[in-house]
Amino acid sequence: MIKKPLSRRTLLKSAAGFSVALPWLEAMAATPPPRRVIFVFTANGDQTARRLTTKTETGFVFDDMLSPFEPYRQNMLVMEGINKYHYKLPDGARADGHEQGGSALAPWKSGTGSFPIGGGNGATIGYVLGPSADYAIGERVVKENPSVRFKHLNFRVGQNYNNIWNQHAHAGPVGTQNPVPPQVNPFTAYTQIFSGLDLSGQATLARRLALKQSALDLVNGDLNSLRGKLPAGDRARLEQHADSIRDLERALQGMAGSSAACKPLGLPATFDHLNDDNYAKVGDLFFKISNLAFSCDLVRTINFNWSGNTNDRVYGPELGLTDGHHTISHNSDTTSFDHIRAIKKQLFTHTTTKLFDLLKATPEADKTMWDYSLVVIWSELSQGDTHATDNDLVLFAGGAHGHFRQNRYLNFKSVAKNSHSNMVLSVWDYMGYGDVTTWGDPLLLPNGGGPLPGLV
Amino acid sequence: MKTFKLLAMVGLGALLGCEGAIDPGAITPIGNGSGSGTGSGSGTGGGASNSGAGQGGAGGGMDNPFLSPCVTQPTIANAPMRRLSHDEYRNSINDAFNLPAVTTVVATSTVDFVNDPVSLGYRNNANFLDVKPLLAQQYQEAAEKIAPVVAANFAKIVTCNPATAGNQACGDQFVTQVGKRLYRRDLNTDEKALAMKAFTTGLTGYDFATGIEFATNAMLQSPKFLYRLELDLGAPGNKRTLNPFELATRLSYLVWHSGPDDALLTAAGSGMLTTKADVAREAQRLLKDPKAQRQFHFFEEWLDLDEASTLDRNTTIFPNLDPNLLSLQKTETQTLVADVVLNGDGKFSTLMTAPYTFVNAALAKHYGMTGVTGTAFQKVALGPKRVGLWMQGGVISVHDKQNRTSIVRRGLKIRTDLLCQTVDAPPNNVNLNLGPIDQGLSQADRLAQHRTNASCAGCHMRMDPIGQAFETIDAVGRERTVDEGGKAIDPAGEITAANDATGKYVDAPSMVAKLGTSKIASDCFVTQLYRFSMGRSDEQADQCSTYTLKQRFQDNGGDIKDLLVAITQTDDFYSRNVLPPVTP
Repeated sequence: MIKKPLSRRTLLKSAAGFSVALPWLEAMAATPPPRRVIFVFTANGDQTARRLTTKTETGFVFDDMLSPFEPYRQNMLVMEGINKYHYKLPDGARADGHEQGGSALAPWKSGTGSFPIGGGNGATIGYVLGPSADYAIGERVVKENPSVRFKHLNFRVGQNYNNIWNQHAHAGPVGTQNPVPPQVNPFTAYTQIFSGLDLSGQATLARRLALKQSALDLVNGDLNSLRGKLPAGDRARLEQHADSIRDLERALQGMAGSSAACKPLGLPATFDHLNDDNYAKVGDLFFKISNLAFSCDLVRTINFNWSGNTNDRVYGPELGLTDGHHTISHNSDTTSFDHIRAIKKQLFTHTTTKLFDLLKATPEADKTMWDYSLVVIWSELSQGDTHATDNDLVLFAGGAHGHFRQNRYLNFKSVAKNSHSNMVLSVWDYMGYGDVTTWGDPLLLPNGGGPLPGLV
Repeated sequence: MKTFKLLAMVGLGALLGCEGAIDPGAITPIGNGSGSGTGSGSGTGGGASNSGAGQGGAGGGMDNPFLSPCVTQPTIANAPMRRLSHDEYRNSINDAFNLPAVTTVVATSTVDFVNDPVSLGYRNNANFLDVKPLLAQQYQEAAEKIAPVVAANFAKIVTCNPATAGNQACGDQFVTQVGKRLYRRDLNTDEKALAMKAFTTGLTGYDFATGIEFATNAMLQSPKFLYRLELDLGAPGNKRTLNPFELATRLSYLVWHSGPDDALLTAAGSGMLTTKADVAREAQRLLKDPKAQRQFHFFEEWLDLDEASTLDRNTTIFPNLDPNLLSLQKTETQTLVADVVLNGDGKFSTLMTAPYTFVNAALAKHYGMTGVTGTAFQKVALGPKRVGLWMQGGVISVHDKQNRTSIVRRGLKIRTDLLCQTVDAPPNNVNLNLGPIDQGLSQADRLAQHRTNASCAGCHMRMDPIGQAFETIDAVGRERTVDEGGKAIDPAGEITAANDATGKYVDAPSMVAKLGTSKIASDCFVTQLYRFSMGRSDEQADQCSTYTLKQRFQDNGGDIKDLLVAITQTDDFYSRNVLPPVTP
């Protein structure tokens, strides 16, 4: 349904409100910080046998690959034995381990018709037929919290084209192939997300608002003129468009900052975001943007990807490797596994933990944002050389409002409810939506819905 | 050290091993959209079939040697509403104003447009072209940058002087004239009122130029501009002929990837664009225009040349590469395509086997050619070991790895996009290990050893021998006689399970020559161009159209320009199914 646009008066009033919002919000400091989650994806699985040297619940010891996380263990849950159960999906509705696994936040059957590779039994394969958790959770957040501007943010480091291997966020609805192409340029992402931060001068502001609003008036008029004139599939896309226009209208409301940390970033000088040499820098910047977007309460779910699945980046600059990540991941020899672990450690040490530090450095309420956020670290595969998806490593990090009992290791291999979808349901639960007890295709919840047992 | 950005574009590593029970016929034609090869034919065209190779395109009735699908199933497929692809968006604005300043700002303001999802190799599948929040914002920002440039050039766009004719009259003329180009037809009363309201807001709040800016900004974000709308206002249940303006739009986007020019709109408005003959006549006219060179964009997406802007390679293994190598190689391909398709005999087989290419001094140096100077690309003869489109440097090496060629990926590309067949993925939870690369074997030997495992051979025997023939071209597109490890290259082999292309060859030129004259590759090319042109996958209901096109393509000796005209003559192009609207 195409919704009624916001009135111009509302927009002008809200846009002007940014400058006065912070003092007002400081008075609101007693309100508990919102729940938010950022999914952090790294590609190609790891080496299942070399994750930990001691696997007891409270006395677990990280092996070298995971050692960068040691300083943060007080606020971590380390989980193994998570099973994606993709083999439960029927032939023709299941993409290969990388493709299906990369979209495991959207645990639905795959459609057909988009790719000639990987469908099985001679069929083409398509994108998954439903939304990803970051989108669906965010959709509910926005519905219940109109001041939150974005349903989700969707970032990927590198690659400027979008296919079945490198798009992990999906908008659905169920039954629809609808991948969400990620933002890959952190500089334009910053401008777009924080468009309210640089409004300067009331004359300029008024003109900009008038310009934007006059276009939105026309777009809404034209969208409305098409109502009732389009068949189902076209209508769905038009509704998507109308929803996006609503998003632009919300942007005119300006910034609804929720903390003193909600202030412009000092951006570095621009660099080529698609040059692999800048890989870590792009990730760092996306993390800063994520941190700020959380601070401003512009969004509560973020789908961050160090790459798409099957990524074949060559870790030459950092590790001196000459073969690509994905290429190496298909080998079973000792040297290849050494390299796989080194790549993962690289991603964890020099990059992902920077997000942790950003969250920790951001004051919020009586503590920091780290204490009021959840970071979920995951991959499309358990281990690359076999395309295994039955022993995934998933890490929950961040204080997460004390929702989880942390500093623990849990192996779900012999636990009935050990599906990746159960893991996602744990995230739904943390986000305050424990009423959501099933997620994705029921075939991928073979032992029932609900969150993973024993986490809280 | 540079790294390679392209490698994840296909899940190729997924194909480096495939233990498990894989049917030897695991490569099958890409058939109808539903993947179920039903129909009146006897056979093998369905996506779910394991019957081995067959012709690409729609499965089913076309396999019956006696009855045309136009008799057994004279249907057309449902045509979804098409949002402009990013290229179409740029071309449409550029052509609507035809001003260098606008073209410049269009380029800079759209460079970061989020890429649309790929489907069957193309970024213009209507079902995936929507306007999500990110793109809506990018459209907004682009329009806000383009509109002031348009406003500043008002006098070059509309012959109306506000000082004498009055602001309102000139605003009206601008909206009428520019609106028609952007919406590809005359604006109705409501549409015009909306645009004039934006104009008036700018005019009354600021000045005339601001009014033009506001109106332009608004129209550039209108769904009437961004979508190619074909509204079915009649009773559902039958197909209808498109109205002249809808035909003009389909035609111009087919040939120019852009909106209609004034001549086409005039033809549409004066009853000169109604019959199929009218459409063919205009198609021929459009093909003669330089804007028809934009057809290269289809080739660029078909060949995956659009997926990266640079060919990053390991600088130790490939020192001193020209930083613009891939760009140069794209120009090489673009020039060959234009030479053959638009200026030459237009034949598919010529494209496949042309014994020449186009280089400038920088690219000639890279290839080790002598006697070429300057930056302009010029025609040069190739030696006996290299011919045609698929052996061009960029076309073949874009599938390679940062440090070496990829036999599997090259072979896979041919299988899926020149033969239109599918390739299964290896099953999960099996060992895919190919072993370390440095064990004293050539890449080809290593893969051959891999194929001694029968379960791997099912897939790899279809990819590796094809890729192996191309080993005479290295990972940056240069000819060579030994592989990365110094092992001699043996380009001879055999294509299996490929219908009339099946058979042995002595090297890559003889292989592509065989493919260039095969019906399977010819049919696949028709399928590829049809998918791109229609902005969707080919379906069962398209059978009549695709069958007709394949026959005509064969009968006309694989004439690609004629194929574009032929597409305009199909019922799928000329008409559409009337679909019931969904009321709110």
